[in-house]
Amino acid sequence: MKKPALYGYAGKIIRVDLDAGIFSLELTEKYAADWLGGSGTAWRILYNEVKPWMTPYAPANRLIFSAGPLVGTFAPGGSRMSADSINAMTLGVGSSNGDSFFGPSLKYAGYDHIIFQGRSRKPVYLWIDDDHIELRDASHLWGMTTWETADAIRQELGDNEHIYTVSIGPAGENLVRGACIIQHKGRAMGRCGLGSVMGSKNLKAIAVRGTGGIMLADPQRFLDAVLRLREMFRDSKAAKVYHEYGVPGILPAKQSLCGVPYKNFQSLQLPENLYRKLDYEEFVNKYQIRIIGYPGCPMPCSRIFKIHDGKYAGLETEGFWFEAMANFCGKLAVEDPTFQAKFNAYCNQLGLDLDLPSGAIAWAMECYQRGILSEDDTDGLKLEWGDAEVVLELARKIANREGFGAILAEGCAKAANMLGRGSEYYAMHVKGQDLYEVMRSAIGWGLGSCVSTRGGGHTTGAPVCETMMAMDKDKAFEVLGVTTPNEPLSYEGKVKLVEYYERFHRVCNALGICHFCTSWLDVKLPGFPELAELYSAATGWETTEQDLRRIATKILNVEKAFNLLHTNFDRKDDYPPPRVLAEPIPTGQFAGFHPTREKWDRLLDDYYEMNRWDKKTSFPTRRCLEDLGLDYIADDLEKVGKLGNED
Amino acid sequence: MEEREKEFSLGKVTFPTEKCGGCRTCELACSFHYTKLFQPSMSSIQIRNSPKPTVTFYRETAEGHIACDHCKGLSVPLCIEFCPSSSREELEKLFKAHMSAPRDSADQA
Repeated sequence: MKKPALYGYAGKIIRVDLDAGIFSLELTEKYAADWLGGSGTAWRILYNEVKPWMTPYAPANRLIFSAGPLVGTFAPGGSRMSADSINAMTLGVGSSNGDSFFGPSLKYAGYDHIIFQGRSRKPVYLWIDDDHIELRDASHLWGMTTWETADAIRQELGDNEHIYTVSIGPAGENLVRGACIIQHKGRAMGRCGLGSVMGSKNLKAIAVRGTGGIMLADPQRFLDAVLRLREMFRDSKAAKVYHEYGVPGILPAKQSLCGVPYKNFQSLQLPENLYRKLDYEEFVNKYQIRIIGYPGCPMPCSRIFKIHDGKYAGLETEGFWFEAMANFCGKLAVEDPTFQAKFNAYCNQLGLDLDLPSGAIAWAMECYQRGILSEDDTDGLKLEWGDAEVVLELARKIANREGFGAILAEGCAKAANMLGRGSEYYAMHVKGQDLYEVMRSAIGWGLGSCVSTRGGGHTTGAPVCETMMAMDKDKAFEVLGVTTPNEPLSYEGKVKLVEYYERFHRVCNALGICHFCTSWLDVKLPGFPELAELYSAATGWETTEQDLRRIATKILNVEKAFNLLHTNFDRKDDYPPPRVLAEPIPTGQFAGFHPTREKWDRLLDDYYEMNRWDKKTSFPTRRCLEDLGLDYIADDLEKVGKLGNED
Repeated sequence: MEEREKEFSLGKVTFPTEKCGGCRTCELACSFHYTKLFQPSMSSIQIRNSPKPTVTFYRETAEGHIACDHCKGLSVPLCIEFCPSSSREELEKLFKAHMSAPRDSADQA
């Protein structure tokens, strides 16, 4: 194989002009060294090319898919893909991430990124077969679920094994604001409504097959590092639980620590009988037929369930995570455990992010409970808590923008704005994006989720360590630098945790590493030094933890500036929903507690100071940006009066 | 080893699998072993998920895949080394079966 320009990276970027129906190739090396890759490079491109007057569904908006430099190798968790664009829900930063075989295949075909711009006149899908790239008619696929689409594309291209797809379902086609992008049949690039951005471009799917290979700069060093890292997983109890049962295995801890949203966050624990019904080990033992995983992962946490009793008997589907459990049986209070598998599958088929219907329907149910909504508003449906049939019907209406579903399709924040009548208080969102995150019982988790650039979301800055009671505190101090990692109600050290994870998560998203395969899950798993070693060995560019942190801080500031140029977000939008600051936790060991406005103010002051942003407004200062080599961004922000004041 | 349906053709042997999670890390490790590239399209081990989950070992170089050299020189074959704990035991059995399977289709069990 010819010596590549870059090691680790595939080397090329495909740019697709959907207006003209043509594509061109660019070189990854333009961005790689300065931005790492993955969503890091994507945000560099988006900041430069997506101007403030562009809206999510404008043809000029770019939608970028990325596979980082470690994707397609056997780095632990190295199979994540990123999708980045304007956020359809918040109108600012939209960034979503998921794993599958699509990312590795894209790399083997020779590409690190795909940039879409414009809008196709009729439905199309992009077919990438190594060097061959083609836009194919997708009119016959339009209207299909993502499952039908994945099967139909493999069928028509004549390969049921090595072609991988990302696609949208009816939700994306109908511009449902919280529509997602599904990889194959069940891995979602879930949040930020990027499925609707894709739908707005008449882009139904992308299919890829890659037979090439990825070359590393120092293969032996890489292998040695990977083998060392895999030892860490063998010693990790959390990794073992995830592999043997899956993420919903954390339910007992979440229940004990008041971390399960019930009936739209009115309570933070499940009632005892429901908690017992949702015994997850029992569910796994009853319905699991196989554990499944993705390339490089030493602790695959997914599984296939086959439901053989109850209303959904016959359903065979990839499993679900804790978010599904918390959304469906918690926020919506549905008591049938098999509904978790059913609704998860249904949302995947429709191409609907779980948080969107859960957030909007939970809001609507609480409003119905309180007499703010009546059957006149809800197409005659009785929105009783826990009514699975109503939830399914509302999800169908949402995906098709039908009747009341058209309002819910906007997410609870916009729906509440449209409805008024005091319903806004019950809309649990941050910056317009529906929340699944419980914020009253874990301060760091709450802070990280609130300040996230993409709206309410826990994967760019929120720690999970606060709910890990059995933890090596010495190791935690060594990695995270705090003495209160698992004291959820303490304010001490939480800004430092968010600082760590804001950067660490961005490094993972740029490299293509799954957060679960890292110090996020367990401080004994790979952290900055280990990722720096993998990256150095892969690329041949000696990179330290400090180098990675600096690039991540750069990416964070680019995203922050993007939000400032595209939205009115400032300090006021970094607060949790009013309920969180007003209502005490009703039951459980933390009953009576809630963060206060005063304490949150202090957290934000400290957080902005840590980031070198103006405390009053949250705007980055010129010095902060220039130290990162982002002078042009300081100039852009100054032009619109959004440059922070130096202290 | 329990009786199984086996597909013999000159050059490769395919086994049905109950435990394989389809992660394909074995394919990555295998190609890496030969060329230091990650290029599953040429690996000696191939996972299929449809129509049914199977594991195939190439015993002769064919269809672009390199013949398995049993990871000579390594204490544990890389495919097994990288297999997740829930499926590794089965892969070890299948690997042994592939190493000892007859080479001639007339010798089918």
